[in-house]
Amino acid sequence: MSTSSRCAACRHLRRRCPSDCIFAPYFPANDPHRFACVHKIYGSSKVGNMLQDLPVELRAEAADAICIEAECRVQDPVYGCVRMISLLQQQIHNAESQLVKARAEIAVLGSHAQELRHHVQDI
Amino acid sequence: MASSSNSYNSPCAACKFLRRKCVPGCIFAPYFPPEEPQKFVNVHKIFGASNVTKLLNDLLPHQREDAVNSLAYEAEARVRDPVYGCVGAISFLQRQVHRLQKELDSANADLIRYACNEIPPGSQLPAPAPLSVSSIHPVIPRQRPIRIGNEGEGFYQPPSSYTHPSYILPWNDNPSPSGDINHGGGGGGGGGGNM
Repeated sequence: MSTSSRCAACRHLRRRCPSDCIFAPYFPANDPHRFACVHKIYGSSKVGNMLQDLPVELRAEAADAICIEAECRVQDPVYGCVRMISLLQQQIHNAESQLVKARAEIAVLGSHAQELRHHVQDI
Repeated sequence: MASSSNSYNSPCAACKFLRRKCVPGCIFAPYFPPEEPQKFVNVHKIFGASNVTKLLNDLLPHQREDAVNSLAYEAEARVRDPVYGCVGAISFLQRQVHRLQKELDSANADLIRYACNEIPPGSQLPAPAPLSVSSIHPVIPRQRPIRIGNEGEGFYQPPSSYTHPSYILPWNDNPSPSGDINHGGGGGGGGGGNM
């Protein structure tokens, strides 16, 4: 395979890109940053093993997920994507509290409305 | 919880796993106690010992415990779900937020409807006691969705058949990470919320 058609991984690793390269379908040459992040956090052999252990039809999704996690960890070396999980759990907690309050308000207003209707009927 | 372990006691879980002497000052020892062997097993499987060492060396000492716990969390997530890992959990939680927001919007609409339709049209009433409209909080601020994945693609969505195992964050009671959330150590700023 000519050097001009190496995938981003093989370019980064400065090696030939074989025809059955495990990385090539998921790390195209036009996006070097994608593999650079993954390599920095996981290393190429770990990523290669993770992809190898999966059925072919699941590897693209796995590569995308690994890239997202790596990018998160590069941007936030302490918490990585776990920060996002924490924020989402907090959002859920807040939304559930607000929902309970809103439903309590609705119940109160509903009973007010019913009283008024009875009052109108009595007049 | 960081603990110390050295060769005078028993080797830390990392050195035990790596079959090496746990020296004083071992970078893993405070964070991988021998009582929690699986923690290092997972981290080693996903990240590798040398990558973890590099990551920890790039951080300030007070950041390392949270970093190890978040790495352990991610590693466990990926061991449980080798395809989506933590991203699957994020997607699941985003859908929950979306669902709750819709329910909140609906509840707010009901509240406004009650406020507007409180007095039936055409009825002759003595001055009714005013509703405590001030108690209505119709607008719960819309939670901004946290977007992950490529620009413009919105939420990362694993297939609908994905079932999310329940994850407990490694932080004890406080759902928010402790420590300086804006300090990213040697590697750059924080903020993994938007990509």
